[in-house]
Amino acid sequence: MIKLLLGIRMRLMMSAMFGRKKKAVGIGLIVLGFVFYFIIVNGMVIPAIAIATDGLVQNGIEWVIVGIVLLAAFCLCFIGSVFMAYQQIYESKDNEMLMSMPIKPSQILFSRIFAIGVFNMIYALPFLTGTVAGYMIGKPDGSGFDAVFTGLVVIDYIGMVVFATMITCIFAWLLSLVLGKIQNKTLISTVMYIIFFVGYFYVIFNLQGFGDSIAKNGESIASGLNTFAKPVYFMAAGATEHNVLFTIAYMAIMLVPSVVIFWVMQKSYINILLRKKYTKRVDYKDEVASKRSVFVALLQKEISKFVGTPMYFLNYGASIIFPLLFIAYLFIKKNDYGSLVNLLSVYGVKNESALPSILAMALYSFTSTGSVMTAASINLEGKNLWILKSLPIPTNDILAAKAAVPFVCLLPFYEIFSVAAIILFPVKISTIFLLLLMPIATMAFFSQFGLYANLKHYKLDWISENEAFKRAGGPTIASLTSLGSLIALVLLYIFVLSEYIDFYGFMWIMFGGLVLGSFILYTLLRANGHSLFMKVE
Amino acid sequence: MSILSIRNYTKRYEDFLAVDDLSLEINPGEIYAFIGHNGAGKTTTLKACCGILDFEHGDILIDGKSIKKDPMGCKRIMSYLPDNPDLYEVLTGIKYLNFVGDVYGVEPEVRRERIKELASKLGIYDNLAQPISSYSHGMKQKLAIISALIHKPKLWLMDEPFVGLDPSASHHLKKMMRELCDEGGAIFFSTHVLEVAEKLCDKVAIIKKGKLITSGTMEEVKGDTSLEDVFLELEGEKNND
Repeated sequence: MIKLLLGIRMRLMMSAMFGRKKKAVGIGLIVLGFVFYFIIVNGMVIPAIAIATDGLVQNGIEWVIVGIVLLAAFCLCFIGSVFMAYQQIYESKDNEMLMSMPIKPSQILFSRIFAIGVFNMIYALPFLTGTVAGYMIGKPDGSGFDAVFTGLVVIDYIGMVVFATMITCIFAWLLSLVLGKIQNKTLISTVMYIIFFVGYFYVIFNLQGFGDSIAKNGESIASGLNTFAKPVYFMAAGATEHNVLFTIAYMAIMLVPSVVIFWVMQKSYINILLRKKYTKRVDYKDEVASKRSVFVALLQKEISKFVGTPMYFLNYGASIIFPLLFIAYLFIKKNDYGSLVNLLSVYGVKNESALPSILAMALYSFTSTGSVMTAASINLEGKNLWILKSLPIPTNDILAAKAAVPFVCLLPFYEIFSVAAIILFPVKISTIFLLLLMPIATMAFFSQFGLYANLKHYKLDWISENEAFKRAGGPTIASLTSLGSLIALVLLYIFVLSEYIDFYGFMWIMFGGLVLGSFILYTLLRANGHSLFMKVE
Repeated sequence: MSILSIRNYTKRYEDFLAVDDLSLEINPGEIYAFIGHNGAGKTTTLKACCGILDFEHGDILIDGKSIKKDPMGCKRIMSYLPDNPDLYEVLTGIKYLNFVGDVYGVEPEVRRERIKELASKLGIYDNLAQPISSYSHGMKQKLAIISALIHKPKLWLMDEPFVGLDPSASHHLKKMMRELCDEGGAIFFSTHVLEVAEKLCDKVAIIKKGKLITSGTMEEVKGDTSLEDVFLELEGEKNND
């Protein structure tokens, strides 16, 4: 039975990624995206480990960097996965159907946790490969491939993923207990998300200090980890010192609590699934509603969907939370951007004069990331699609309303970011216009791009809502395009164009490109949108 | 002129022929039942009639307008009720009805009266301010019925409308169907409840494996027997008992 359930979950994951029809171009793009992600992360991890290993091995504490990188992988698996795990475990549409069958609830729960674990395993894989490659490159003795180290790190990695997955799931369990008693789930989820990420940002902005400490105070860091984070010591030292006993101890520390967590969760699983969702009774007041145009009615429906679906809102709404937190940080540190410059020094930033251009690219990144929320808008229609198709609504109005949602819900926040950047850093009048217009052009391009991607790669038969926007083809393609365009533009400027034009000149070229691209996408959607929409079924 | 005219409608999914050369005429004032075994092509036909499903061969005319050439014109005068009405769960009942009312351009005061009348008859008036996510299946069905009638359509297409309705709501639905047809509209609906079809409908069409087997008035089709007997005989089931 477990094998059957696991097989179904894996097939659902594959279907979520590649769609039922498994179009070759779509699959190719998604695979390319994964390869791209793999290369980028390895590109960051390998040099960091190689350099640190070279320095730390002299003091015999090279395990510190291995431990820190795998700890970073742990954080990656954990952060941002809690809400997804909550959806997968407690909000899946097939929960009731499975519970009505002769299947133990613990087996249903295990199959869901396993799927989350596989996802984490793939997601954090570049950290494993980066650790192995970086360590072997960095070792001063140049001994090359170390099979024992590799084998032990792989075991460490599996233990880490299992533990991270279970920690994620226990938080999802806590979330289910809290949200079950609350009506406005989106608001509470957003508040919890913000609290989470304030802590995350605190760590990030002090990371440089932590990194410096590793380099200068490796021994005291090692001593600290050895005393207060023994599992990290066992994990990393077990691999670097080929100490199998340490690895066994580490695995015991990872697996025993994981089993306990699973036991706790499966005890309450049925009760949580069967409890009546809290809905505050609201008395209906017989009032005459105001008449709206079709477009406004559609837009309000789309906005309700965005705001009323916690995971959808968090997935893309986070793109407004980060810039607002960032701006708050910049205003707080207004007279001393030294720590920020230190943090960014690994990317070649030497002084504060680079900060405005970095802010401008950050603005582009946030805007493009949030705008591609449209890449899930067709998916999220799901089984409701019959409503839009049977009502007398022109397809262009439907698509226009979907494309307009980020303009209403997200653009004002990006403009606040622009205005804040203009206030914090003295810029020319032309640059002021650029910073105010850039979010509009970026959003016009990416919201239409996301919509087009979703029309070409849609998934309506999702079982849990986050499949519609987390692992489906359209949103994946759109998100990777947004990230890829940012990296491509930065590299293009740094390595090719910086000799010929200044950064703001480059941004005007970007702006022109985005406007042209928006126009092309608009024309494509007007010409083909109806026929593509009719094919969605 | 017929309200619904299906002319040589054929729908193919890759290698599978779902509906083969179907032709039907439905006139104003008629309640027309569409019956057939599971997978016969009933839902495919209904979805094509209301513009949800594209098709390559044949045409479907709603009050003289082609669903292919003038889909908006057709959709404005008809409505569709699916077998399992999945509605926007983030909206409340009244917000959903106002959304549909805005799409059809129903004036607010008229809309308010219609909603009050229909929701009271179907027993969900007091629940209109609740989110649809808290509705039972039957309540969603009732809300979908109200949304389908809010603009007084000329043609009402329904897929298994009686599933999930309590006896009182079923009774009211039958009355609403008759009223709509008495006012010059028409109804084309699929059902497995043959007793209801026999009592309620003026005409019936039986489809098997995508092909129309028989159609006509209830008397023409069933004669002295029951509709169930006719259906089973046509399906080849009766001789197997």
